[in-house]
Amino acid sequence: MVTGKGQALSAMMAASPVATEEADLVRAAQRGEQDAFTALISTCDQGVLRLAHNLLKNEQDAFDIYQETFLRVFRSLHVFRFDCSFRTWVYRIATNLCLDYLRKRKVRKEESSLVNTGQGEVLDRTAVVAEENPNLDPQRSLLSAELRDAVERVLGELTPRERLVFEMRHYQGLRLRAIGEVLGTTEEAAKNCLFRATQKMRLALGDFI
Amino acid sequence: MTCEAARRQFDLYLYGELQFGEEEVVERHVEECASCREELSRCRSLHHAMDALESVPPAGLLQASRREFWSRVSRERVAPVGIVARIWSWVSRVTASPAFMRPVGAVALLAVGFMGARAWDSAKSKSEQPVLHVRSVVPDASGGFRLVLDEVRQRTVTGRLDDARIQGMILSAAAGSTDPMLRASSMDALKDHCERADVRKVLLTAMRQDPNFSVRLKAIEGLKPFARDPETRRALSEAVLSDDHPSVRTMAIDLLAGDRENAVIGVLQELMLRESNPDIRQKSLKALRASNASPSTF
Ligand SMILES: [Zn+2]
Repeated sequence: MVTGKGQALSAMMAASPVATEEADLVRAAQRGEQDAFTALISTCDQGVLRLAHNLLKNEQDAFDIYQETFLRVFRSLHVFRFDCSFRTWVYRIATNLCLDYLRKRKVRKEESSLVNTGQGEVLDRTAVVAEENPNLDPQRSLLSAELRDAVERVLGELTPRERLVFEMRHYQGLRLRAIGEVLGTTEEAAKNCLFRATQKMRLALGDFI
Repeated sequence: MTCEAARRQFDLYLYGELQFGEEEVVERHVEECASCREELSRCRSLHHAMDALESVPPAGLLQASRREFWSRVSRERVAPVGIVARIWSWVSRVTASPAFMRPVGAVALLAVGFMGARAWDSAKSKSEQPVLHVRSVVPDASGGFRLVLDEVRQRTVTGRLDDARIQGMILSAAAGSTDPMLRASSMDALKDHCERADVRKVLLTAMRQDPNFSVRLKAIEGLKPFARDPETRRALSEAVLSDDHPSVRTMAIDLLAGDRENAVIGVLQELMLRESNPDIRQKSLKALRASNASPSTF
């Protein structure tokens, strides 16, 4: 659980002195002040990278999402109109890119990466590759390999939107209201998405815990 | 509340996403129902298990991503320099103005936008750490070490700018010091001497590359008497289109304005396409009108 972290993050997304400071930075960056632009980006780029990396389980994809997200931010900062916080705007760009990646990957996966083991089992090659990645958190080794496999599998079975909402709520600690804002939907819709995701996980993992 | 209804709320409860009242109802049910208590604790374990599955980006990925991003941004920012070159070369082919007779290729363009300047800045800030020259390291009786250091003693020299030694030192302070104040005061010392090619070269380089905008402003000021020099006008055009600081862009427009040369008009027209600062747009528009030129592209 990451409640503490979550509250800190959502405090940053809500209107607060932090938000006013952020708006000042945005205006300065729009005037072409480079230090302001650097400061703005450093408020959220680590979060974007973590989001993309955990979601896509792949360094290269996370790197690409980072580039694409912030180049779009750079190119369109002058049209940013303060309808939402800068952070929400950046996350909106990043999550849309991640959704595209996940959707493309799902298509690719359906086409090619499911391998029938011949014993009535179907393995997902992308999950196997993620498993072998030595850069993944060492904490993982504390979990039983079985549970890990099961979690990877159920994450793979979530729809891209469910996966994204779960990622932002569970790992990034964003409040459902902020997630709704990022995804251009209501808090209620984000809540339903999260509910479906956690239900699926509980069903699939209930035997392990 | 039924057990089923309570359990449906467990995840939102753990995420702290329930309303105050809803949370109250769940807690009261769990207090009274042993099997839901157990279910909630399984739910909590599952959340912890998920925590452990977060894959943290490997060390260095953030740095690498930032580096690549800034280098892409600098390429976008530098693009205007290429546009200046295009406008200039086109003008030099189609106009007979003697000022533009020299081939474009002969003039090396310093393709340094603001991010280039930034990289320069950060490379320099590393060398700003005091460099210690250790001559020897000898263990002493107390278990420590005795170090002999070479240190540079401070010294004051005085002289006029026509003294080659003084002039050389000021030129190198203007171009190479890590201290922006020192670079700025060196620019001040040089500004009445821009008839000299080596002084001009330092001022032009500072205008294009110095990471500090006040130093760039001083360099432009120093070049004022040479505002008609083609190389200066070219550097000014680059500043108009690519300097990240609005005061520098403004001052560069001032020096270029009133000029009816096609190249300058082309630069100002290009500026109208990319500039978002309303004051600068206004200034550029005024300069174009003064030259009886339209604000659309040349
Ligand atoms: Zn119960």
